[in-house]
Amino acid sequence: MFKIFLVNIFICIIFLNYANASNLDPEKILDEVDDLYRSNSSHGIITLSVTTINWKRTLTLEQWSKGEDNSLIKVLKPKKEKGLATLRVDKNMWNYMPKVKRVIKIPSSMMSSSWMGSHFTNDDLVKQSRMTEDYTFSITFEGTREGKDIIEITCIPNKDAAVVWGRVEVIVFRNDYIPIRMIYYDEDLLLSRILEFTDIKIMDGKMIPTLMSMIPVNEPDESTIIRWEKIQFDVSIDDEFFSLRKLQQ
Amino acid sequence: MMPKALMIIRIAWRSIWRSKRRTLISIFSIVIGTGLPTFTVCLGWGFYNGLIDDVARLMAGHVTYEHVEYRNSPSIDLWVDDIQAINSALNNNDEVLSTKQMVLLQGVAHTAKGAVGVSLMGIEPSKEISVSFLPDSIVSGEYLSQGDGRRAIIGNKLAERLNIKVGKKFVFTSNDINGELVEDLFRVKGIFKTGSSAFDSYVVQSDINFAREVVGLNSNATSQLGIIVKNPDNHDKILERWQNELASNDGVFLSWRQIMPDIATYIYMDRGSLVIIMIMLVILVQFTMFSTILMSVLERKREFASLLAIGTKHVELNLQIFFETLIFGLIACPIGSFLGVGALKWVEGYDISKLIEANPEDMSIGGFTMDPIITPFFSAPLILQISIIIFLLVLILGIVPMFLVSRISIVDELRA
Repeated sequence: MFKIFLVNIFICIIFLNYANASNLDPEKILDEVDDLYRSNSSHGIITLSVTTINWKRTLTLEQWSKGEDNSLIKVLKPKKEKGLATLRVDKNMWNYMPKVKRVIKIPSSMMSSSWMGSHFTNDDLVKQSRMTEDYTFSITFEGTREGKDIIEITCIPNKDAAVVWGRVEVIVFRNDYIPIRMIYYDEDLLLSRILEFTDIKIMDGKMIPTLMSMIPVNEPDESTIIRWEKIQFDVSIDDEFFSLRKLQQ
Repeated sequence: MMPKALMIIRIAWRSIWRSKRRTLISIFSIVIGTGLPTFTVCLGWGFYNGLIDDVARLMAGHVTYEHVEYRNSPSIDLWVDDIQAINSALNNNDEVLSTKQMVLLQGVAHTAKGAVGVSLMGIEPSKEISVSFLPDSIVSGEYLSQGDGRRAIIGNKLAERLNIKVGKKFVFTSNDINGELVEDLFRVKGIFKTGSSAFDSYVVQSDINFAREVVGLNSNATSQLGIIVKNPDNHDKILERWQNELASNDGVFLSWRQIMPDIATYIYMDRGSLVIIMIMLVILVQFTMFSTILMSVLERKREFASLLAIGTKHVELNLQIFFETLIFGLIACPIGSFLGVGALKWVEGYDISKLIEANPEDMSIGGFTMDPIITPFFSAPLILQISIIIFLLVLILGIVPMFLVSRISIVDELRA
């Protein structure tokens, strides 16, 4: 009798664990990761540090965003690059060069160019796709790894999705779905780049990783680090704010 | 008069064979003077024609129909409409070998390895197979076929830069007809190698219908309609007629020279320099010819003086020298032409890159590789033209000796 009781308890524990896992909705988690820095609108100060084999530079940027379609980023420091700005409205992108006082619309042929010398391309900024639309996903690990209670979601691109990766692993904290790491593999499933999220802080009432590091695997000595110094969510910004006139101011 | 002229011709004929060595030297120099330009010009013209034809078949034809503003700003929002009617009319034209519709997109190809700026050509695979050499340049995988959708072929250099192989994917980003950014997934069906670094590292081809779909063009619109004509030399006249008969308000028929000015300028300059070199060469050979003809007259001064003393007229002597020169030209120029053509036949089909130890990349012009296989341009009018020019030059050379004969002093020469 006691043995039957123990077996029942064991089955219950397994069932409860299973029930717990099945309660996790990977779609919801991916949406939360996608919307981490998105809000109805936001305004913040960012430090962008780019390290390459030959040089290193740090820029202080001011950014505004509204929805998924509008964003404006302006360089505050260093002084010689102050005023350099990038405007994105829908899928269009413009750069303003204060030294020559010219606005340049970024054509598709320049989408592969580096944005502000970083390891991000103009295309990375313009991309508005959501992971839940482009990938088939499933939870592939749930539990403790490296002392952290995590969930690992493995995303496989849909057959015809415009995605260059062969697989993306999204690792988040289990309790609040804050991302820890995103690992990108190429089509041959070779490691391609790692996006690390660290230094989690509460900013304007929202817990976010304030440090995002991008490390290309084939150039391990290089990196791009984005630090959110300040961010406010749901600030009031008019649609007219994201205009070419504002870009040049 | 006639028997006298015949007699002078007979005397001229006999006279030139009195000194066989001198005559053979004269004829040899004229043969070289005719054969060398024939060989070089036909060889050069063959390369130029081959290059023009290859580029026309690979790209936008000998004549291209496109939007009137497309040359100034080659973007996808400048397309030509009602293309199927024009295409059908052209395909029923006897002067047209084939037509090819193309949608041309500038953009970026991305893989996990990186991103590279590319030009995507949406083409009709069945047409390309029949007119272009690109299907024969596939080194891995297969060429496109109708309805291939998102399958594409890329150059070997581009494949290296993007680190992709046959069957692998890349994302292409471009602007649609409304200027909006669009991106789509493509899979590599084949990898080509033309030898031109610029072409192999920049061009992607896919089925035209999918390219239209990507940018939002309807099936009756295209960026360019390339027309391969049967006689490329005549294409300037044809395009004027087509412009009046077929073009819509915003469409224009252009020559390959306007579509690919780099290649046109190169050929123009190279052809010009070849002609200058040939003129210099002919002048040098003419000097040899001139000296032999002159010597043949000068060493017979005493003989001419004797003839004049016994009553021969100056005009008859001049006629004899003229006929001698004429005979030289009539014998040597055809031999020179035949020898030039023979030499061309001998080198025809030879791979010139082996001779100059050049890579195909070293032989590219305006981003297109010249075919290293020698294919001379055998044109009877061109060969005849060269032969006639040399023949006329030989006749002109006879004027100086004729002038010298007319100034012979009979007394001085007979006394000497």
